[in-house]
Amino acid sequence: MARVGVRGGPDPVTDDRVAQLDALYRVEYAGMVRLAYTVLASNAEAEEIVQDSFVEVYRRWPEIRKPGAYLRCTVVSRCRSALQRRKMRPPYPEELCVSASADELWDVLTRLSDEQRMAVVLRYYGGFAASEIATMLEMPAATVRSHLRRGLATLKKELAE
Amino acid sequence: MSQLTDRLERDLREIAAGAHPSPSAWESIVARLDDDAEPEVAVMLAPGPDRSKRPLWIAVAAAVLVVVLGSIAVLTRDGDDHSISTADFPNLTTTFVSPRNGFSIRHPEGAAVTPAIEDGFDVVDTGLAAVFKGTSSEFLDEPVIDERNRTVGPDEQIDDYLSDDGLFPGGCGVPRRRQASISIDGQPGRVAECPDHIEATVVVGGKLYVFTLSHDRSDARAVFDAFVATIELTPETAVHFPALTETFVSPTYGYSFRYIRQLTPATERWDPGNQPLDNIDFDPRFDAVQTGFGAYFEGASTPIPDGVSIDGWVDEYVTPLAAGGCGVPRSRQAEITIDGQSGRIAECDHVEATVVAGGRLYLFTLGHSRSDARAFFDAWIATIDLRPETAAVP
Repeated sequence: MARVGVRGGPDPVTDDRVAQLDALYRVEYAGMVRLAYTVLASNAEAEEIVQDSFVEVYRRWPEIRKPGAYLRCTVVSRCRSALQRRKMRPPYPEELCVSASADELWDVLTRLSDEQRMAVVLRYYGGFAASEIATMLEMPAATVRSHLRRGLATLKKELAE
Repeated sequence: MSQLTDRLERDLREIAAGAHPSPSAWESIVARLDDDAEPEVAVMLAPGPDRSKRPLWIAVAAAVLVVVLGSIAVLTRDGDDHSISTADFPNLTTTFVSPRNGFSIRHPEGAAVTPAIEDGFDVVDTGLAAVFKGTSSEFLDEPVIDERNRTVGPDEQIDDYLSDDGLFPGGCGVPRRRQASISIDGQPGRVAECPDHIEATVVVGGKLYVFTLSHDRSDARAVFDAFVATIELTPETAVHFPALTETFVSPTYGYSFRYIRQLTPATERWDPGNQPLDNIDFDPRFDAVQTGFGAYFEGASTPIPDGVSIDGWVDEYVTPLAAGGCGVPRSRQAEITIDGQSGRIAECDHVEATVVAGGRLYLFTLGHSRSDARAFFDAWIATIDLRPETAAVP
């Protein structure tokens, strides 16, 4: 098995892969960090998740036909895992420097189920359709729609409009 | 766009703006690529099953199995002679018809049979160091594209499904394409044997059947083959949704129905003639059941305005595309009977039925991701009791 390195090894395939990853990074990195931050409200955690996801994309590159889509799925999946981990080990809360309206929204968002929270953020921040969210959350589109409906119902009830 | 969704978009953008992507992130990523290079190559050259992140189709399939005994040789039916060429195993003389899994099998008289109640196995414990199990699940016998955009063939899908220890503990783990052939009720299947376990699979009529034999017998294969020879597959009779065991009496809409788990009664009134055609924000208008089986029931009713044409009013206000309906003119929809009343039903990405009783229009819908959605819907509809006289006066 030939060793493949990204610095010392003049491996044309790997070098090309890094170049393609670089192109993907320039387009997607900041947006993915903002998306993860909107779910987690932790800059450090969001960056870690997105960087891990880029490494995962690099590893899987030969198997991936749509790197951008795969990256989003990976980021979303890791955000879900992070939310689950928080139930076991709650993180030190970071202060949100936002308006009172956004702060109130965040408070209600954190009380939604993980699935509802992810669906709402992906729909109303990410702008993704239910079918796209379904792919990212690995659940039927009908289930995504039900999470959206229930999440919105709770938000509508809880938020002072 | 409602005030709520406007606010959501605005406030979420504000929250997102609080993120500060590191300007040196690329260097960190590249350093990680270098650190991980060698093991990554191993992964690429020899990809293994990722059991921590199962594809969506596995979750959707988690309904059914059939267990029987396995064999490597191709079996042929032997008419009514179900004798076993072993000294201490009785003949298979008693027929068991699975109530849910779509097959029948013969077993020795006196065996303990435990039918599957919901998803899972029918179990035949012979009391002779041999326990047969059988189950089935929905299965499309064709390649699928997984979440990583890889094409996954039927054999690989079945391998992944059977590799779930929670569903199939003690499996042999032999890739299906390398397993021996077996014929089950005339259909080509596969069989694998390991020290105390035999498992066979066959796909028929959109169902994946799994039959297993757990044993402590030296003649297990002969026993398994004898059982397999008695199997009759009836995929059209398989039922892969749960029994509806709880009863809900709507305090608002004048009906009752049976359901399973996660029922949320309506908290707002449904008034389709006077509300915007937005099918998301007004969900609280519906009594809703999230079944957990890829199916989401909703129901509501409303008084019918005086002087309107039922079909025209439904088409305009109740089930138009803009309200998330199928958009099929009610006059051209198929007929359905709900609690003795003649109604109409349409199927698109969901199922929707309307019926009139006591001056009220009832709407029942099923959002789903199931191939047997209509059967599930019909099973639910069959439990509905229309009581328009008990509806809350609007």
